[in-house]
Amino acid sequence: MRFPFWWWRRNEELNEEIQGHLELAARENMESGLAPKDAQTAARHEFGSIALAEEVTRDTWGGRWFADLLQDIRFALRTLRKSPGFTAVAVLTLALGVGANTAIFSFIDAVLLRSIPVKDPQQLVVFNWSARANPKLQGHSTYGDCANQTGIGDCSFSIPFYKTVRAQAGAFSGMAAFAGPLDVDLSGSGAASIVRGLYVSGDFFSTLGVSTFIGRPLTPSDDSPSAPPAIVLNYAYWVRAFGGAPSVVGRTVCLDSTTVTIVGVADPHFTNLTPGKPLDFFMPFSVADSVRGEWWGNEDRLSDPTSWWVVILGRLKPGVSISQAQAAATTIFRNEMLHGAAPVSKSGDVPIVFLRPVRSGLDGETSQIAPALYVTMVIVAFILLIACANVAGLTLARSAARQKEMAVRLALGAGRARIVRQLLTESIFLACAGGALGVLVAVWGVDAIATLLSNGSGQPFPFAVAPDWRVLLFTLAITFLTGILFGLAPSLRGSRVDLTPSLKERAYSLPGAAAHTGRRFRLGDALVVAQVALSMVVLVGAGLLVRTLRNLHSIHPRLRRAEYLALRH
Amino acid sequence: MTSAKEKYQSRTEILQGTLDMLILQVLHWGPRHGYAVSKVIRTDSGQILKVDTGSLYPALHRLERKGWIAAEWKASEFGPRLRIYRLTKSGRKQLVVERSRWAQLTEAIEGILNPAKQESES
Repeated sequence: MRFPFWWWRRNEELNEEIQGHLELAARENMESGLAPKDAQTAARHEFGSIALAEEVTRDTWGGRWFADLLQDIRFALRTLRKSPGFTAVAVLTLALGVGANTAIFSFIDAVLLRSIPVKDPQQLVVFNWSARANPKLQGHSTYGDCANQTGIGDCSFSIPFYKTVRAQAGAFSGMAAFAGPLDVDLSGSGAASIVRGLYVSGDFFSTLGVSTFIGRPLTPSDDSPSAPPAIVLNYAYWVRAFGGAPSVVGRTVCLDSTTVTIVGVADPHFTNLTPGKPLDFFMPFSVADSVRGEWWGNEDRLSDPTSWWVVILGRLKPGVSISQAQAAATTIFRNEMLHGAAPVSKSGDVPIVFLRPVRSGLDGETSQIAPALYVTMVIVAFILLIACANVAGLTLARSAARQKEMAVRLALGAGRARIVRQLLTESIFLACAGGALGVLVAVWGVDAIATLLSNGSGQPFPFAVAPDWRVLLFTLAITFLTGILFGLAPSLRGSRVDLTPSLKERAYSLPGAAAHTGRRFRLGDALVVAQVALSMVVLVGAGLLVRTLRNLHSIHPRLRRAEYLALRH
Repeated sequence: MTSAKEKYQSRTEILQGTLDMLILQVLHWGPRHGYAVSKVIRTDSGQILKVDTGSLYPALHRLERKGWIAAEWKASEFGPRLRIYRLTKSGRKQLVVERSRWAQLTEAIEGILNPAKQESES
């Protein structure tokens, strides 16, 4: 990026240097008796061509390609302005193609590629269990954190087990547990509203390495029945509901008629752990008795080992492998299951614990959305290919009309590579214009798709889709690729001109007349065939997508059912 | 335009070896502006050698790139700043090299032009 500026400054300095030369020469001429005006004219005359001297000097700097590039871009602008119809159609076609790709990639980026916003996420593992038969449990709830599990087992555990592992397993430098988020009534700050709160263990913030924006995080001392109830707000909710007022720290609100104190606001980067599960605040497990208490009946979920409902996270000690930690956790788990205060499994059930990295372990809804996104991505990629083929066809027709121009340039001694480069610059320039417009299309498209996806569930789309550097990089890459893809064949074709007939007979060659040339005819035909084939692929893909989308619509209802389902035996 | 440019470049090539040496030699006497360099070459050669500006500035910039001369901007009593070139340490060494090469070359050419004289001398 530094290079152009350096080059420009150099250029200006060279100009100044030569002005100095002229000035010195003119002054000397004046001393020898010439009138000022004549002196300057004579100096200029003696110097010769300033432009030429500058150009030859610039060549010694090694920035030649840049000067050529500027020249090519200027020329491309000029020729494109001469054919506004072609330019408009090409740019619009490309804008649609690039825009669709950018929009879908934004979704893939938001749903699948965003990293989990905690400290050293690679050390963090999520507990899963499996067994050959279902354990006999009083209650068992999941909240859609671990979606892609097969067979018996999931990532829900009891709080007593969590406490046992925390006390006994030496493989972890820290543990945390959470459950939810659940809908809770909040009052005491304006109108009563329903907000989503996540139950967390007292060590949640310290184990994850999440700090607070203002105030303090929840600590283990908050997570005890005797402690005054405290909650930490999520940053987005704080901005939304409290206008980002710092005075919120220390304020009290009512959660389901329990008075709690807001002690802090979480770091803006930390939105949620499981992708696609928005939440508004964090509350310690100790308030679980009173907040949403009636929902559980009389059972004591905080101390009942047969009530499984929390997700357990562990931070591996440095040097401890996942399998070592897994073996240690399985020993504790099996002991609790078979010989604990309330045995829930038989030894033949082989209950085990397995640990998964938090990145893939807490996949939430992503595993259901991912196939639809991938199918869509492939479809829009094909649409971009079709757009490329279209524009390539247009460029080809245009290159036939420009054959005479190319012949003249070749005759004047331009190298073939130089002409290909010039034509490629033209196509990449077109592609960039298309890409820029495509970003606008994408912004509109992201909104439209998010609305479309959330229509079936009545909720806002649960992922924050916003362009970041990855999306921009992607757009830039496909823009350049597009430019090369649709520009290369016509460029190579355009530079291969038979000089004599082009200059003589086909002085007024038209695209139609030029189509007699065998090679171009074949290239044009191939483009049409490719377009038809691609269109078929897109059609089939769209059919597939409709099916996947229908599945997608059923995700949210299923999730909600899981949230409210407490199995009783 | 291309042909005119090539003409300049080919002239640069012919003169290149000697022009570099001449520039280094002129700057050996003291820092100078490009215009002054060309003027010294012209006057000292008795108006025979006229350095083309299309060769001079590329040569100056090339020598600067090689590190044999260095440039700095000096304010002038009139309009634009002046770019003053001076010889560097490595440029001084290069001048010695070029001068000895030039001596060899002239000796060799002299040998061809006057073979008898050289034989009698050796």
